Amino acid sequence: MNELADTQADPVEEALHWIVRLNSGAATPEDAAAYAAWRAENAGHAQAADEAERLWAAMSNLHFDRRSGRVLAAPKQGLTRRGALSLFLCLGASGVAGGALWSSGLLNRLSADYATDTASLEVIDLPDGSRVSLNARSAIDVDFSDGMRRVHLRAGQAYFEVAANPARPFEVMVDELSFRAMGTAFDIVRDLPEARAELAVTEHSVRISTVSGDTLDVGEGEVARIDRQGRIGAAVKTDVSAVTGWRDGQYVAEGRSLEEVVSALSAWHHGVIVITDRQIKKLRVNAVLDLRDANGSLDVLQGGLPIKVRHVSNYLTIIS
Amino acid sequence: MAINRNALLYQLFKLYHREAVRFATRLVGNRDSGEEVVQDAYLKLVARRSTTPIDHPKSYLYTATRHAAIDFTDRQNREWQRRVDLDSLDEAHLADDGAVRMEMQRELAKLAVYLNALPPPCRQAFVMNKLQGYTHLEIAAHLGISTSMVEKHIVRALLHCRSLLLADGDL
Repeated sequence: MNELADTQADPVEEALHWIVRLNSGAATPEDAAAYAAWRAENAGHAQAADEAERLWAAMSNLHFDRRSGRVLAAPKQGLTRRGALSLFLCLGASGVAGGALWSSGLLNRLSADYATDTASLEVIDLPDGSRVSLNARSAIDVDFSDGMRRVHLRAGQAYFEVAANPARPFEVMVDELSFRAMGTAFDIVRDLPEARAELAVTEHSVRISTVSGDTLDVGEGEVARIDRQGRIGAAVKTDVSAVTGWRDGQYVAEGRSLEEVVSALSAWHHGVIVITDRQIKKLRVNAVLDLRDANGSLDVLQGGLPIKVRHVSNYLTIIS
Repeated sequence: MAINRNALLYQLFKLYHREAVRFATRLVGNRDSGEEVVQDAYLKLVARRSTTPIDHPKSYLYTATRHAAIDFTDRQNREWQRRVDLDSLDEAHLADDGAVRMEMQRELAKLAVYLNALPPPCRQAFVMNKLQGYTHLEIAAHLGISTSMVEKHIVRALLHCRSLLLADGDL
């Protein structure tokens, strides 16, 4: 890029073009790296990028009111109801942390009964006395009827504390996967990089059923995964308090892949996290991370792994 | 001089009243508020007692209406904020400094107004991507346009907001 081109093209406009492209849902790690390179080219680009990113970030606080079809500047609550707004800074780009995993849950989140934003936790009291805790960027639909208490986990992760009622089974659906409980407490996360869902039971037991008729009862202190092909894995004895650490703003990784860890952190991060090296995605991580400081947590990871974490800006972090 | 100017403003608002209200309604979301905004705009201009000539009456009116819409939105939000429990991790409320928070709210009011002034397809593409998180591909399918058109719409929305932020900088 020569000087002449710089004076003719407004760098802030160019930066905004980049940001739009990175948020298209089709951006690749190469795109993110190219933006980082453009940004680093000179002080003018860096400043323009800062301004553009700031505008984009500020707009995250806007809301769309479906009723009137208007954009509002009204303050939000962390929790939103059906018909109202669900605000997400979501990028849905394959290769970008959360990427394709997010876009599959996206449409579900938008029309959900309850949904949380980035870096938000919420607790919902259901009419039967059960309680659901939602992790960041998560969503549920509540579908109670006379004979059945059903909750659909549309996106993210939730911790369920179920009020006992033998006459009315409590069932959580992750698409067509069923998790049935009678009076228990358990955690379900969906759309992990290598699993459709993961269940951790903290009290009593939960029965998993698939459409093909496979079932598995998972007991207290056990974790089970359903892989991307829909196969239920074995129930494994685990420290389930580690799995539910997110409820206190902590993410405890015990042998989790870097990809999975970054996916969990990205729900608490307002920008883009990109892993450019496919091989490092599978590195195993053992760490206790602070979800409320996603960037700091990424730096902590750098301490224990052969990776390089580069905070290109508040908005963009590249891991290589 | 002042009397002539007020007469001119009166004529201006009388002539373009319906259009101004329609424009204001788009910016703030409902007709009653739209009427109020146009009234505010008129009163503000009259009160200003400016003596600079109005070269482009219609655009002058529209700009004044836009500014009044921003004030209105900002005022409404401040009223709303007083009544709502601010317990969230919303970035706009993370600012401890009251002045900074007011600045941020002011800017949000501007952005909301600017975006509502955009033509529907452009605004819709922006809202669907930025506020609702759809991908360009999904938006293109939904709106029946190409992904490159979606990208153009969103960029246009951003540039529109940016240039108005610069223009209304001291508001």
